[in-house]
Amino acid sequence: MSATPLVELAGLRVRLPGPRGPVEALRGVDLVLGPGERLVLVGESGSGKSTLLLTLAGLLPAEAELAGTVRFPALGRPPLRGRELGLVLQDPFASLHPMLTVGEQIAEVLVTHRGQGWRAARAAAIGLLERVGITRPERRVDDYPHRFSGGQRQRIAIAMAVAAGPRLLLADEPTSALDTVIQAQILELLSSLVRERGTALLLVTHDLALAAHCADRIAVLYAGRIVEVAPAGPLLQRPRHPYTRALVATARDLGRLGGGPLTEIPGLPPDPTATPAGCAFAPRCAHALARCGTEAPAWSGDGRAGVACHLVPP
Amino acid sequence: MARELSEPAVPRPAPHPSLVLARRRLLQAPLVLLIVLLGAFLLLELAPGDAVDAYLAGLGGDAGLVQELRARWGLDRAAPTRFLLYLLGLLTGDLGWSVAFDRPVRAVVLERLPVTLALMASATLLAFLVGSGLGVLAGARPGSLADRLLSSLALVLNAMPSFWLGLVLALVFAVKLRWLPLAGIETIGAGHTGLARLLDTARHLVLPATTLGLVYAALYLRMMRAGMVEAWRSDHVRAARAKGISRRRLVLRHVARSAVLPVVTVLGLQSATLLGGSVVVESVFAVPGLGRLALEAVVQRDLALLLGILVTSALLVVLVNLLIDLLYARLDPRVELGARGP
Amino acid sequence: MSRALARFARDPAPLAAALLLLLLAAAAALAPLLWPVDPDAVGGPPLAAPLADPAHPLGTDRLGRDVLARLLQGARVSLTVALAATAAALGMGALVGLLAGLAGGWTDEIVMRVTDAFQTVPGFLLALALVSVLGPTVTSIVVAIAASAWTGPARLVRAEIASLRSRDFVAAAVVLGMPRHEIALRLLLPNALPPILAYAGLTVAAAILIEAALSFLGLGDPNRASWGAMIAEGRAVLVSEPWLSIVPGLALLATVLAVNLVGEGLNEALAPRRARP
Repeated sequence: MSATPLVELAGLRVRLPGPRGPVEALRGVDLVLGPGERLVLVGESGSGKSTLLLTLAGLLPAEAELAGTVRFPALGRPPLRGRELGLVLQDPFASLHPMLTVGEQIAEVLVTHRGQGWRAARAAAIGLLERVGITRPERRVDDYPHRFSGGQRQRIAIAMAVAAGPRLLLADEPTSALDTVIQAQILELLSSLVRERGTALLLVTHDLALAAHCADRIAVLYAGRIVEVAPAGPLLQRPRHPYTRALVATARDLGRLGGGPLTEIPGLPPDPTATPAGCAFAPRCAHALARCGTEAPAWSGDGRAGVACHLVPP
Repeated sequence: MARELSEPAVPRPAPHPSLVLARRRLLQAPLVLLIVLLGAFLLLELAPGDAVDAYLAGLGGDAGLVQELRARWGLDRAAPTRFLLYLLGLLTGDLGWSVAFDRPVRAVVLERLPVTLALMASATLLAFLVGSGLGVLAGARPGSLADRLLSSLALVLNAMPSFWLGLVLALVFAVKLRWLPLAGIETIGAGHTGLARLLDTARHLVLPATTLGLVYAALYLRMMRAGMVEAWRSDHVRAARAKGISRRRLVLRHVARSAVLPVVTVLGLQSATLLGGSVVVESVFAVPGLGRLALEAVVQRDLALLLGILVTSALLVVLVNLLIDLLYARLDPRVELGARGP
Repeated sequence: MSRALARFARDPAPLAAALLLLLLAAAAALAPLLWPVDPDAVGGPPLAAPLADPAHPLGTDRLGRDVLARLLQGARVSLTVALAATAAALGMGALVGLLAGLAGGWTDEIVMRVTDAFQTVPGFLLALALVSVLGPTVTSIVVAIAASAWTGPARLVRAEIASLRSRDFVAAAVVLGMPRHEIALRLLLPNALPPILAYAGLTVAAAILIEAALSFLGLGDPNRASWGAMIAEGRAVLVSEPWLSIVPGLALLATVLAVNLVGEGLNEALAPRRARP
């Protein structure tokens, strides 16, 4: 892990316009992602995990305000979308253009970034469809998205994202719109694709049990802040932050490897328009101390591993 | 590798809602047309005086002549009988007798129909091309200067009375600049034939078609822009942006593609108002079409002719809407017509 | 409602348009006091140019009648006809939509086919036929415009009623034994109103344009000056005296534009959920 990191975030803050005033989506995120590494980012909805992905993809709305640094040391500049960075979105029913054939949607990536002609790109698209597990791809390449099932569409979306061989693949809850059995298949596909190509994967999910499958490291996001980062094994076996512990316990209680939202932690996620004085998790924390409500805990560790909690000695 | 292990083959999709709608519309069309006929017939029954009064208004005539004419035109029978006879006549393509022209209504209508069809087609084409083209320019960057200028232009055009726009255009391009003919559908007495005649007619159509089309162009511009604004917020455009394709391709192939379908639907819905608008534009430019014929029928109180025009227009509107439904089915891949299995 | 008004007032363009319309309505209503010139009297030399003679600020027409006075009378006709036709169309549409939406079944089917039939006949042709049958009076023009404009509101109300019928509060009212007509008038209709109100702006604008077109074609009330008829009269001297057509045309354009802007502003204010670009 001594290679030049691919992504390096330091003190990243993002403020987005919202219907009830600006929302502090990210409140100081430090994170490092190495080449070829698979990092899973876990958090409830509203924790800022999608915002983090859009920041890396350079697709935040123009009105978003950014502070802190986003660097890509291994590239020396932000990655070129499509060529060096691929993005898989959550809902495969919405993320493919309904009026363009799947072949064209894959091929346009190759035409744009590989300088291929349309004929060659179409042939390559057939190969990619085959790789992501579409049967008889030569007969399906000119079909429109509505002729594919949800799982198949997500496979196609993945083929689009990896078509040009990016260094970094971003996936935003790629399985939460799919059936449980298919979820595992899609994760398996993503995992094997990035491993055979040496692509770094940043996968966002709210489902810790699912994350365990394909993570080298896991980062836990709460209210716009990373509360704990650690290699997958240690984090799942010895979670240190009370929120992580609650997440792991929930996943274990349910005794399953499949999905389902986290509903077992009492209380509600904090109001994203208000900035908490102390630790954002304190109101829901069973072990909160007096100073948890007034003083934000410092980060102990670095971008690769660490925790932010008053209860955990540095 | 993982090959669709647990996923069943996709079943053939159910017919798309718009196709179901098209079939329904086809089944309902005869009933709707019958209601139109009955309504129009009843309306014109309300009119004071009948065809004979209109016919003799300028000539005068004794009671005997009135009686004879009423008998000849079947006006001496009761209204329900006449309605049934009219329906029977319609089945054989007989629309009755025009007193104003002293010819069968069908002949008069058929003579004027091609001109109106040409006007409607060219106006629609112009409206669609100009409207959606400018709409793409506006929607390419919502909020930009180009967008604000074009949206304001559309707002003004949308509020423009077509007959007034026609007068202004005629004043500028026909009277002052003398680029285009002021009125009519062809140069009278020029004796053009073949291609020369076609070009002559096209030159005569430019001003009326522009007048009629510009108002709709404004509508399509606004719709196209609104559709694109919505498309920019969609997931598939976000995914396309993440693929790093060129802006040109993104705007034209992805964003505009989603916005064009609603415009096509409205194209059909607007055919009725377009036909109504042609009445005004045809009389501004003295184009001898169906619209001006309607005005002549009103002025001369030729009720049979007016009824014939109403019926023909309704039929035309129904046909155009069916045509647009089919076009829609071709444009939207989600509508499956054939039996092509996966 | 007051919050909707506040939202409406925030946008300058609709607000300015609303002020313009209010001014126009006031000028039209108070015309006899503000500009006490008989619009039908020959009061000066024919074809006097505008902005030349303070007695005729906008000049005179071919018969020497004062253009400003005629313009103000035209505004009265235009606004009266548009408002009356819109009220009639919305009332008729609401009634038909309510009936179809509540009755369902065959009644609904037949009412909707009649609505289809009205939408199949070009509205302007229908108006033309109606005016020719009823005679060229202001009332028959109102009827003629409303006859083609009620279908849109009818569809809207029907759809709204159909979706409201299945809601809990209606079921609750039924359980509580509220009479049917009371459910219809006190629960359903008020909830179906906002979409029709949003439609009103469109209808007013269309009505102004149809009235103008009818009178341009010589089917307006011959006893009253109207913008459409003024444009038609100016047409004979279009080349030498273009302002005679251009002035009423601009009045028409400005009024319709203002109505559209106000309508859009109301639409935005009443439906804030729809995100703006």
